[in-house]
Amino acid sequence: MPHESMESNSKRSFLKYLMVFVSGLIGVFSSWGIARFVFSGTRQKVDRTIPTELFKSISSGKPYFIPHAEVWIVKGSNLSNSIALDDRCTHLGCRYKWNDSKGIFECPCHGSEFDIQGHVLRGPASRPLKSLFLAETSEQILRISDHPHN
Amino acid sequence: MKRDSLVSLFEHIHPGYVPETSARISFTFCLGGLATTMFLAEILTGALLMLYYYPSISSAYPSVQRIMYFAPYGFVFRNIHYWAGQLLVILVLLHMVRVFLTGSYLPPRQLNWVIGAILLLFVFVEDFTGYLLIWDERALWAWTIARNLTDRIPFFGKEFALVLFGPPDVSDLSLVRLYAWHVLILPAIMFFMMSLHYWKIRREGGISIPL
Repeated sequence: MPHESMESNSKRSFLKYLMVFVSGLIGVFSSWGIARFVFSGTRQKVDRTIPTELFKSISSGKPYFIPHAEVWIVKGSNLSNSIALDDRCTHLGCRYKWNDSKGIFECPCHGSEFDIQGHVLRGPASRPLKSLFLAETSEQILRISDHPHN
Repeated sequence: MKRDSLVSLFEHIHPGYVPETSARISFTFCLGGLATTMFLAEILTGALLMLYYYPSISSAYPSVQRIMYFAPYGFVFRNIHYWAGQLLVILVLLHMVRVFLTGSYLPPRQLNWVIGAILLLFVFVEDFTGYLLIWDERALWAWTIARNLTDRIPFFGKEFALVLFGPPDVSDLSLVRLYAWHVLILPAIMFFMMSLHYWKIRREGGISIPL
C-alpha cells in the first residue's frame, strides 16, 4: 500500500511539473506575440519633406545633412541630378557621417566607407547606401520618397 | 492562521466538497466554467484590440483593417476575440439547457437562474455592439435598424434609444457610445453579476445533485 501511494504521488507531481512547464511555455510564447502586437507601429514615422527654400540654400558638391528627414542631400546642378541618401548604414543601421577631409562617408560603428554617391568603398557593408528620390510636390515643398513620381 | 489572499480566493472559488454524482463531467460538461474562460479571453484580447481600435466613423473600419493586416499577430487576437464571442453565446445557451434539464433552477437556486438569464442578455448585447464597432456597411444598417426598433418601443422608447444609441443621426458620438457600452459599462456589470453568480452557487449548496 505505501508503495502504491508513493507511485501515485510521483505520477501526480510529474503531471504537476509538466503542466507548469507547458503553461510556462505557452505563457512565454504568447507574451512574445502580445509584445510584438503592442509595440507595432510605435516608431515615429519620418517626415521626409523639406522646404524648397532650404534645398536652394544648400551648396552643391558637399553633402548636407537634414536631421528631421533623416537624409543626406548631395546637390547637383539641378533637382534631377541631386541625390538623397538615407542616413543609415546598410550594414547594421548606424548613422554614418561625412568626413570632409577624406571626402567620404564613414560609419562609426564598423568602419564601412562610402563615396559621395553612396557606393561602397570599404566593408563590412556590402550594399550601397539607400538612395531616395527627390520630387517637387508644390512650390514650397520637396518630397523625398522611396519610389519615383510619388 | 495566516493565509495568502490568492490561495484564499482560489479556495473560495473551488468548493470544499462536490457530490460524486455532480462531479461527473457528463453532469455539467463544465459549460459554466468554459463560458467564464471565454469571458476572460474576451477581456484579454479586447484589451489588446483597444490599443489600435479607433471609435470614429472615418477611422473605425481602417483601424480594424490595420489590426487584421498590419499589426503583428493582430489577426490572431481579433479572431480569438470574435470566435470566443460566438462560442460564448453557444456555451451560455447550452449551460442554460443543462441547468434546466438537471432541475438546477429549482429553489433555492431560482434567483441564480434569473441572474444567469440576465447575463445571457448581456452576452447578446455585447456581441451585437461588437458587430457594430467594425462599422462597415452591415454595421451601419444594423445600427439604423436597431435604433429605429428601440425608438418604436411604446412610452419610453425615444428616451431609451437616446440612452443606448445617442442622437438619432449617425456621428462619431454614436460610435463612442457603442464603444463605451462594449468595453467598459457592460463588461463591468457582467463581471459583478458573474461574481454574484459564483458566490450564490457556493451559498446555495454548490452544484446541484441529479434529480
